[in-house]
Amino acid sequence: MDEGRKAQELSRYLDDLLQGKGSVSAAVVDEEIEALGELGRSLTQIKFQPRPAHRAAVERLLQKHRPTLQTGGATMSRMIWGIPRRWFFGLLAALIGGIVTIGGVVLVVIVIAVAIFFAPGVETPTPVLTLEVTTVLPPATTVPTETVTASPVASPTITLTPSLTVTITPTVTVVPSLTVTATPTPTATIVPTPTTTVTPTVTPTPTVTITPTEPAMSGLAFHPAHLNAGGKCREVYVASGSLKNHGTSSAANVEIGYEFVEGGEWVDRVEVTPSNWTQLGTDKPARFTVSVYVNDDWPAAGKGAEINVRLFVQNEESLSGEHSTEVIFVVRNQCKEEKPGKAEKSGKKSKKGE
Amino acid sequence: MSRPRTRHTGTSAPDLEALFREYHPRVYAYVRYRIADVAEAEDLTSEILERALAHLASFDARKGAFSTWLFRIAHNTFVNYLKKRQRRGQYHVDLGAGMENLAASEPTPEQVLSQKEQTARLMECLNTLPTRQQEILSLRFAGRLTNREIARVLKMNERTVSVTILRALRKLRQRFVERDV
Repeated sequence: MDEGRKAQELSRYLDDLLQGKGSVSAAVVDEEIEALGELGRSLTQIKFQPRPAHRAAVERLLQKHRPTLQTGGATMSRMIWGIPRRWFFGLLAALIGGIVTIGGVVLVVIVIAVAIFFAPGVETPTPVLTLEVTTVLPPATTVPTETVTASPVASPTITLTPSLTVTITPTVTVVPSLTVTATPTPTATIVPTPTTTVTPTVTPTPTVTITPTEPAMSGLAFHPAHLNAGGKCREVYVASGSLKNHGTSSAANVEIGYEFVEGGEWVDRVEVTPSNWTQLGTDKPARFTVSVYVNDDWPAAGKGAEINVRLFVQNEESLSGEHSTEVIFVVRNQCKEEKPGKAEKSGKKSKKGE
Repeated sequence: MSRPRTRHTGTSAPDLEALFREYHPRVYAYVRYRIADVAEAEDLTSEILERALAHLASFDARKGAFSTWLFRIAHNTFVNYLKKRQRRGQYHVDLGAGMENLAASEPTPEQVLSQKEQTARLMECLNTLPTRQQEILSLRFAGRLTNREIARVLKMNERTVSVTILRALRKLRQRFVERDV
């Protein structure tokens, strides 16, 4: 007998045994089944009985759940909130469907209302956007006025009047400007500093750049400003200078004049060569020579005596304005005093010469 | 020995309280087959019944017998119990606690003692079997379920249950004889 069939026979035997049938042994033909059946009978006869206390506890448990037990498990499971499960889900589905339908209707109504409201032909007020911009400008910047005095020789007065231009849109640009007014003295020698930078203390700090140039000369001017002569005692003292036209156009019929400032009593005559020009171009110096012829009293005038001849522009017919330029020709007496002997010698020589 | 008088598999509303009362000793015996300690077995039995009462809504008489439903809960609860304990202690039978051998009618004290000792040995041998065989023999002889009911509880083939019982009894008999010698 194979195992499966034997297992079935044993199961049948045990079924009979558990049902309390007494004729089980008669049906058994296999010794092993009979032995195993007897073992099963022994297991069946083992009875574990709950103790009274445990029985009482289970009874209390059943009493506690009596309402539930009376309702019935399967029946109870089919009820939800006292409503049969099938009905409950049907009602739930109907409720959800109703909510969805109502929601859809409300949505359609809203859409229609919006469509009517925004339909063409209906004037809608044009929104006007007013933008008010208030710009707070910084306080006005006060630019100081500075006066710069050039040095060392001449003293041209340079008046700095920086002006500040503030452009707000979009950035701030400060453009300082400089106005220089120079009134040079004819004899002044201006050695300008190539570049002078003045930084006014303003905020924002503008950079003021002053570039002094040669003092503006609008007319004729002598060069150099002084003419000197001296040294050996002579009969004539000669010096050279030039007259330069600093104007923008040529000068016409220019004539140099002279006058004695000092020591005219020792002068025989004065010659300026040349002393006049019909045309004097711009920036072209016209050279001249001035000769002072002294008389016989000059050697006796004494050491330290001076002859001062002032040269000036006596005439000019083209350039406008007065010509204030001048040059002083200074002749210093450095003649030695003649001793009587020497005078005699010189008298003899002169006699010899005669 | 007789089969339970109440077998509810029909559509009529069952008397659940009577069923619980009737199946209580069988559940207790099923537990005692696996747990020697009486108090622990009682606690576990109470836990099984409480869980069954709590999940009473899951019982549908049209889908299965009450016995199958109750012993599935018992089986699951017992599996959880074993996981919690993480051990399988050796089975020691308390000879004086709730054990009754009906085979002896008007036995002498010596016979009673002998039978109790024999039963204790049998239980100890039973608990040396593989867990699956222990489970099936417990359901078969303590729970008094048929092979078909056991198959439903454990979700296995009925023929497999039959063969497992055959092999389990063979092994049990062999070990019992070896101990007796």
